[in-house]
Amino acid sequence: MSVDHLEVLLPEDIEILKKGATIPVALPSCSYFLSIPYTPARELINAQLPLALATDYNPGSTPSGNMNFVVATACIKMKMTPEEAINAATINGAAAMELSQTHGSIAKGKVANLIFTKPIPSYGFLPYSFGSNQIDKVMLQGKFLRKQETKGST
Amino acid sequence: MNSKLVTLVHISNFVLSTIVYTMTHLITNIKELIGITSKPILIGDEMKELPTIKNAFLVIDDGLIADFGTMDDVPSNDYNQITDVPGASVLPAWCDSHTHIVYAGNREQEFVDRINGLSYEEIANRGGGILNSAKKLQETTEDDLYHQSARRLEEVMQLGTGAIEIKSGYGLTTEAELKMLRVIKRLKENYPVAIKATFLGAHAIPLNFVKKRSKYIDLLIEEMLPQIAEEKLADYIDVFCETGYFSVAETIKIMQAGKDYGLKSKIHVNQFTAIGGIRAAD
Repeated sequence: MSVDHLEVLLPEDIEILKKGATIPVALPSCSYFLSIPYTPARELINAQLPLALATDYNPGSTPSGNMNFVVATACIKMKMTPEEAINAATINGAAAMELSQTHGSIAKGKVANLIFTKPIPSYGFLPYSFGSNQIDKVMLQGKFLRKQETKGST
Repeated sequence: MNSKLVTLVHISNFVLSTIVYTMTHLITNIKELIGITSKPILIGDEMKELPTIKNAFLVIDDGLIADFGTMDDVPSNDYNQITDVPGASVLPAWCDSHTHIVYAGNREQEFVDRINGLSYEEIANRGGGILNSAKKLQETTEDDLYHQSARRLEEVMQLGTGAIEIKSGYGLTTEAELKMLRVIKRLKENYPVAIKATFLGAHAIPLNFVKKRSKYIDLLIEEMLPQIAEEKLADYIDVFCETGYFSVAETIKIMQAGKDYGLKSKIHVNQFTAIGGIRAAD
């Protein structure tokens, strides 16, 4: 279904990926935290492959689950355009979980899972202003989240 | 006669459900509505396009996107709720297809060790890394693990994540792997996020299996997988295919076993070295 990480890629690996039906998934926060190479996004996209972005949120190599940082880092370190990075973090991420019929884009009939930004000049400002929180509110399944829900706190 | 009665009942049920459940919500004056596409995946150059509508409205009905367009075309209906969001842009919530948010404690000490010069691999070789997380998780109750993980899920929801994949793999015993997957199941039941669960028993070889690694793979295939399938706890199977973890041949064996139980494959590959794991995914 998906092949994840791909920080170290050989030319023949790209050829194999082109023949398969799997979705490459890049995890730039892991590269950032461990100071290891970034997945060569340009080579994958230029080879006409799909690419998804994810966090890899885990205690060892990526103790961060912030997709906004992932999108910014993909632009800053992997030379993805804001368009490519946002697509990779939404519809292609949904595809890597077989959820793209119901999630990952604005389309009639899809689940109303939406990010409402603070006033920004354009969507390119999201990765440009890396590290700043540009989210005003989040809607999941049609309902606005209350800020700082703490159901799971101990 | 009977069929008429049935029809009437159906109609009244329909009317009832319409009254009770329909909840239309109109969002107005969206500065830019971003990420409009019906394609199921974007490949290569298709990723360069991110279609948007400026000065847009959006209608939500029963939690689903029912309509959208420019403010000039807002349909005049009786909406249950109207929210005006001048200045805000709206985009689809993030879909995070690779996480391990169910874990116990943290590895802040290893972070400091790395700052002081140790590599990720050196830390792993000293019994840190994944095995350190596994030890902590095995000692943590399911309830405690649930609460620690729920806090992380709530955190990423606030950061805009609306769909997420979560892996096991810090258990490395049958009992602890099942504990992790049951926690994922509870998260799925309790939060308005789409969650996919992945069985990653092949995340590392536990210390007590280092000299008999094939026995751990047998345990994974013969004991863990059948129980996971029985309780329907996973959607996918994943393997850490990497030098010092699982070989390409072992990866293929484990993924095939998962497939036999209806689990599609995800694979950790080429993180540190290229050992030919991509071929395994093919």
